[in-house]
Amino acid sequence: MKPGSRLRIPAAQAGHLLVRFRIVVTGFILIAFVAGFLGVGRVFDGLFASFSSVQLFPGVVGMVGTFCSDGVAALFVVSAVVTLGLIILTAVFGRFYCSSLCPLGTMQDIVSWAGHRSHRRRRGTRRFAWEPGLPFIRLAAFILVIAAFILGAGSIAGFLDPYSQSGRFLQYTILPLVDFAGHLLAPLARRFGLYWLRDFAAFSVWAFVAAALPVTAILIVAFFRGRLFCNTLCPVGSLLGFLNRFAPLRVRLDAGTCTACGACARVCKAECLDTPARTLDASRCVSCFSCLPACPTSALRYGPKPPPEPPRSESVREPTSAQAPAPSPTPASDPGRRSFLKKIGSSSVLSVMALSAPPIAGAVELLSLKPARPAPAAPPGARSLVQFQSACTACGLCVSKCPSGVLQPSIVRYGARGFLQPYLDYEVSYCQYECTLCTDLCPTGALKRIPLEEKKLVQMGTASLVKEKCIVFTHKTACGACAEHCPTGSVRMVPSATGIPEPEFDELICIGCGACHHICPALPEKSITVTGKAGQGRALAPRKDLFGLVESPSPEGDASAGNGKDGGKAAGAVDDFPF
Amino acid sequence: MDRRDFLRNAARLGLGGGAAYLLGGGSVRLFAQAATAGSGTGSLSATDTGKSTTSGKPSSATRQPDLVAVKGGEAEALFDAGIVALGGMGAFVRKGQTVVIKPNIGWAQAPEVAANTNPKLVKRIIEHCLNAGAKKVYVFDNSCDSWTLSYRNSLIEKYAKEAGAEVVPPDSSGYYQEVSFPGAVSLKMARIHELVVESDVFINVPVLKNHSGAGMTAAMKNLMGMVWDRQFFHRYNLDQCIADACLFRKPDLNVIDAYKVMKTGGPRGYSSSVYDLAKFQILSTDIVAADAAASRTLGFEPSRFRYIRMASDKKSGQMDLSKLDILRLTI
Repeated sequence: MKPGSRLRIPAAQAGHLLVRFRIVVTGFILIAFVAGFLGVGRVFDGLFASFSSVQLFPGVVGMVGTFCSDGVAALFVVSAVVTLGLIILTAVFGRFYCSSLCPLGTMQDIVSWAGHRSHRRRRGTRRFAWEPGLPFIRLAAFILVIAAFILGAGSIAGFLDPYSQSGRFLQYTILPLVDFAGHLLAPLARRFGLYWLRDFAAFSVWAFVAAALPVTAILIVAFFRGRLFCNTLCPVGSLLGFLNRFAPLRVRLDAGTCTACGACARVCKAECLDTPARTLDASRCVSCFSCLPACPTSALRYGPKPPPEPPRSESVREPTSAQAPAPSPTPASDPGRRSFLKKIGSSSVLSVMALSAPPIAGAVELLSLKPARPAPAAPPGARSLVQFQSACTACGLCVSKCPSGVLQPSIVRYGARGFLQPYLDYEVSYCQYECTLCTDLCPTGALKRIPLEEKKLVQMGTASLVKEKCIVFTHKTACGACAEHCPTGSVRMVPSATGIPEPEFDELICIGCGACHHICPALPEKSITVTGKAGQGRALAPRKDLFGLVESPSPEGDASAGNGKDGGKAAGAVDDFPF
Repeated sequence: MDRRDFLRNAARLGLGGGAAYLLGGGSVRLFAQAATAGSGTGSLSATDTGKSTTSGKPSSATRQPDLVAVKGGEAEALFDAGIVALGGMGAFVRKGQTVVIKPNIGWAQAPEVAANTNPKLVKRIIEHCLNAGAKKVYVFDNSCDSWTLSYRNSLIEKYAKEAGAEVVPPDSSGYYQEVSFPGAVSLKMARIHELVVESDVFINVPVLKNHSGAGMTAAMKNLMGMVWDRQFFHRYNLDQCIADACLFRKPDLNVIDAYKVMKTGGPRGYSSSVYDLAKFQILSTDIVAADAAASRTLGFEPSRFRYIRMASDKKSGQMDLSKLDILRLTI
């Protein structure tokens, strides 16, 4: 409790409890979120990763997007429960999401708390002050997000989505730092016989910067101005702020009890408490409850609207106390904001409609630089590049959980429209045949969930084999790296006249996993490469007789005549032992 | 010389002494089986006396065979019998030593596919090592498929942890040290996992199967999984590199798992792969001899595989099975 407050009353204590409760909840949520992306000790991959994406923005995209493409699919049900659950809870209990569940919100709070600390040390008080809202920027940002989805550029929408921003910040910025620490600690750890510290995975400087810049900017702003991002640019904040206005339970300011001392405004990181005017901008209140214990007269409380009272006195504005900030230049005009919020309300309905609209081809062309050649391959379940790029907000969850690391954020491979969206980088690794993790985890439905047996036939790309570059022909030595890695048998080694098995390729059963591409040792150019497909196809199932009926390939043609299949009857065999 | 003394001591204790290393009640039964098998086939004395002089080992009535082949049981039982015949695990692992076990965990495949070493065999070997007083037993393989999926799907991670081994992720390049391979033709230098460099005992536990590139994969080919840059092998003469790979450090013991042998569609294995349920196992300290025996098991003459001939030329081991003391056991 502030030393300056004279009264110690139940309302303030309740406020304290609410604040503590919020901090505990949000602490757990943030830890789980970080664990989901960074994978604590490589143990809890699936569990926390699924939990990490229980957030509003991916929920809305997943719900609408999945419904439009697949109807009432599993992801639709999951995201509908998440989305509607959060919306209903907000409509009843106020905008608690932004202070309790949102990882970016919590990160900002930590920084802004640090700002408090440093400020308090210097000037002896906390230092927020009422600032008018920025309704036009807020509306413009909201429209931009919707427009991005209409234009089929989920990656741009992802730049304003707090979930995607947090996710990629952890994956592309924090994880490399953790890996670097691991790299430094590894020599120490192995003295104790420990080998679990991980080394650098594939590291992209551009992804590091692209993920670090916006979040760093948001956090710097948070240091000085609290939740300014949440109340101007964040689409989730705009939607929930709108709902907060009508929530029966929310933080309320009783103008009758308020002495306009300004104590609350100094701790309000949403800068939504206009103490001279004795009003609270509910569209910007993030329900952090910090103001409740700060108020010496219990004018602030969390609860339902009080019964109508005699008309509140147009009380004289008491001069603000010494520490209080200068009064705001323009007391916000309520009617204006109300109409703005109505706009936001209607645009949130619009956004739902917009997501369902098919991407407009012309606008897409406008936004996209030409994708690189050879065309990049999208992850399994993407269906088509257009569909994938519309719904993917580039949160990086699939990249963080991909067991082989083949999923990498695109810097230029997809062109501008697909910035940071994941593609299969065969230089790093290849798509694992026995794995559906990315499709299982994708919270937005950009990757459709498919059963493993079906995924094994999804054609993400097609290989092409140039025998002139192949080791077997250029060096005349055995290789077969492509064939041994090929999970379907579309590349296989066949006996040849030279005695060295030669590769043979069958396009119909190739799924474009990139195993052959990744492992091909030929220099300077690979002999077998995979090109992505703009529309994913379906490969034929591998033939049953592919390996069963052919004779086992042998490296030595010369010996095959005499003792090829001599089984256990070779010279020197004893009893039924083969030797 | 130390090890030879040890072998001699262990042999003096007899097969029963070796069996005493085993855990639990099964030891008595296994000892009985091993003893019966030895006397039943009668091959121990026959091969011993015939070829012992050429193998260069000291002629002693109690010395160990060059190679032990065991058939007719589960992978664990095969190993129990086989290791007894080699003087027990105590002949290889002394108290306080560190052991690295290198199975084949190349593929994210289930044990039934037999693309990886039988997980139960790996577990059994670890138990023997710890029972012999090993300070620490490490298990690792630089997999082809994603190591997390390969370790998991093969069940080797699970079984090895159950047995008390340290399962080491292979994906950190920092743990691979540059070493030279004396006398190598192609693979003169390579980065190999430091566990292979530093562990006191190196046990190679491959699975026997067909291989699209090398023809067969068994003991020598399995050493490719200790190397960081696998592409080097394919790029600069696969057969030669496989032969060169055993010039840095030969495993102290090779245990080839031929319980279920993939005869076609290797090394990854396909639904159409043909199998031979051989219930077989080959144990030897001689990596070339082990591969020679393995090629016969697969149905081919050892000379058919170029890398076996190359390794033999480099005197890495004996590929002529007729020059080896072979103990054949049926349990």
